[in-house]
Amino acid sequence: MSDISILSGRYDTISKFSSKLNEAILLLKKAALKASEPAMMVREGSETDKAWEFLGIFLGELIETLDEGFPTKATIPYSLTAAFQKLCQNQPDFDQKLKNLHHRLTHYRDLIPDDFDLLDELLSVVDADASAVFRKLWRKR
Amino acid sequence: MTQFLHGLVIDLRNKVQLLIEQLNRTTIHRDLASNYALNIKGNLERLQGVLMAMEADRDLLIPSLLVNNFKKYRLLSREVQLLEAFPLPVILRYAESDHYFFKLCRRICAQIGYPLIPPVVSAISTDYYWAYPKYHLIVVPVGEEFLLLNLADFYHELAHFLYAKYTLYLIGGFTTELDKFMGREKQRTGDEHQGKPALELFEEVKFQWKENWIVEFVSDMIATYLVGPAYGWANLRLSANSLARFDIFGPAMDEFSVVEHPSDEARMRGIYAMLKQLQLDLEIKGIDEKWQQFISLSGSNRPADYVYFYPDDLLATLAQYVFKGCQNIGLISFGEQRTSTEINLAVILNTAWNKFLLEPVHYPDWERAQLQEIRAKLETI
Repeated sequence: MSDISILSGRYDTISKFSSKLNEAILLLKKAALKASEPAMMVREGSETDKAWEFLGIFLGELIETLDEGFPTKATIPYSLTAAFQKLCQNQPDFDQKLKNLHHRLTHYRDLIPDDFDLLDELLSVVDADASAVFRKLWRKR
Repeated sequence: MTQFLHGLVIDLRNKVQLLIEQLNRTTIHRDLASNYALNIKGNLERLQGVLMAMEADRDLLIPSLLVNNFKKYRLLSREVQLLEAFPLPVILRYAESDHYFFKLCRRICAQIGYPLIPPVVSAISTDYYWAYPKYHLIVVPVGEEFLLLNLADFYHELAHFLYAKYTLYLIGGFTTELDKFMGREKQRTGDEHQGKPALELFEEVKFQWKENWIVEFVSDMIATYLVGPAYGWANLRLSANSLARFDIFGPAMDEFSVVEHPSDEARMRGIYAMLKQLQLDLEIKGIDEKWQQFISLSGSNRPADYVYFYPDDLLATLAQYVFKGCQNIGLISFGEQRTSTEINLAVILNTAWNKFLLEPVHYPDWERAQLQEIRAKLETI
């Protein structure tokens, strides 16, 4: 009856997604930094593979969602669609940048600093939504 | 800033440690000791482990990773805050009224064929009834153990857990039908509506359905499936209690970003749609007679484009899916419960509403006696 019932479910979904996206980016950043930071603790193998795979799926779905105007699959929480669309509208070459990133991610598994900046920008959109829902939930307690 | 973040991680880890110690020092009520409190403690221990690993990770001090490490910290910090705000006070302040609801909840779950572990209930709410599925928690208002008329809303909160677990069973292909319906309406209506441009309007409405409204309508419909007309009457009572807001048709389009629930008026039609599935047409007529009077009394007006927000066809389609979903999950409908020979809560709630409507003066005495009987029955469990 109270909005807490809805908000708690929404925060659960968005925070899980935010955490998964952040962890994947963090893992790949560490892998990329390994050469310049020999002391870096990098978990090789299946976890890094999963991070590449997850980001590939996420970007593929995001490109499709932005093309179609609505989410086509279930990886990206529905509430983020509008926020990603707004980001895309504000930057004319955003769509192409996403496609380039997706291509490098899925074909070469090799990212440049600009790619990480773009991934962080996407993460900020997710983070902002999670923060907004958290604030609403927190006020309701 | 990396050093500052390092400090924040240490501080949060320390806080989690203190919360674990507080739980260890507390004598936990037997209802929660063997399972619930252990789970929450397990959550804290998991967080403690993640924070310890983060604290020991030298990568925390690398500036180029700061953005992501900070976001990671913030998510963990919020998780601790939510544990502090929701399940921990329930465990630490567990009282006699919570124990009553603990037993009542188990009784209700047994009677409706609830397929999940019954949640823990706490009577500390300042915001009516709510559920927090992640923490397996339902919270009800203080003093609610002495009343019956709101109790139908308890079934709505139980339904939130079912929705979280069995979404696809319950809504089937509804979202596809919603997309098609809104697409057709967009084409059909063109620019004849009064408010926002067609594309924006229907996208916004679709977004609200998927993000907020489906879960509420489904929870209402499950509650109606389980408790029958009493849920419709409880909705009327709840709407009447918030009459001062004059928002039976709210939220309006410009309020969508801040209001999570669909309108009270639409929810009532959603309840009717499920009562229709249960073939309780006469009961719909009885509730609607009072409901229409209440709408006139409230002086509420439909916001612009309201007709596109909650069409009857969509509500009827959703009710069909939810009805089938409830049957597939194995929930025992109100109709089936009515034939039960033992004391049944759903039957009592409907009797309570009949008594209240027919003899409001004598109702409080009847309610008190009934609750005594329920309490006595629960003592035997």
